[in-house]
Amino acid sequence: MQIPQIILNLKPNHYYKFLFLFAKLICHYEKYTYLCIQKTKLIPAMNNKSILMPHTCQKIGWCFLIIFVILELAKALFVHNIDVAWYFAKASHATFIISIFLICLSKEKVEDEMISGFRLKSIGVAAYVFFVLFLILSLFLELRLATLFPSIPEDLELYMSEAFLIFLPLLLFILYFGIFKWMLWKSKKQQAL
Amino acid sequence: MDALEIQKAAGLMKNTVRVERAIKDITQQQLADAIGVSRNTINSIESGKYVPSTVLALKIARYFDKSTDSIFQLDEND
Repeated sequence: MQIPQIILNLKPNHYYKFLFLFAKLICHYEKYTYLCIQKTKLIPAMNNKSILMPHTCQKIGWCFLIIFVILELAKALFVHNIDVAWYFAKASHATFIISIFLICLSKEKVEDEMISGFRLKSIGVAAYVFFVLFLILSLFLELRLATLFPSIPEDLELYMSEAFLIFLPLLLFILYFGIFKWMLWKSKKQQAL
Repeated sequence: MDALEIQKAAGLMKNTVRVERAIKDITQQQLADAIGVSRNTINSIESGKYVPSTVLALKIARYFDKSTDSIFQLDEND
């Protein structure tokens, strides 16, 4: 690749100017984004309002999850045509995403400060667990560690990379919700004792 | 000997919510509904597992018509 003459002619102080301009641009962008967020009142700390959806959405989300399970079961049991199975897979994938979105991002029946504390904690734990899983999976795929074990079939790597693309972004939400529910269950269990 | 001293002597909790509740003769659910939190939260506050925010502490104090200091006190470890 050839470097353009204009860049070669630049003196060191020009670079600083460019850097400065770039930083200024980023600052303006940040300021603009911040103003946009402020205008739409998305920062919960500023107006003390929860950005979560109402509890009814969670119920709808569970319904979607049931539809997902039914679609998957129907695909596995009754659909033998590969073209039809593809449509089933797309539909079940969409329902799964919608159900996870509705379930994870809606309020509990009574949303109070202790529950928001649980949410915060579970996001932290989920981030850790997700990062570790992400690291293991990427090492497994990038370094092709599966080839070291002859007992692992070659197809598995392909399946894993597919799962990596489709389900890893959702895994963060699932982890968060699972840890959150587990924390709630634990505190309710202690209450019963 | 007031309620807080009795509790301190027993070494049970850092707040007197349970005692105040017993005096007023209301359930955890009734208190929770009155101040707009879940019953789980009230139970956690009473057993000292959760420290409420200033707003919630003030709400509880106002509900019992007492000062916040008389209900919530600092632990030795705090």
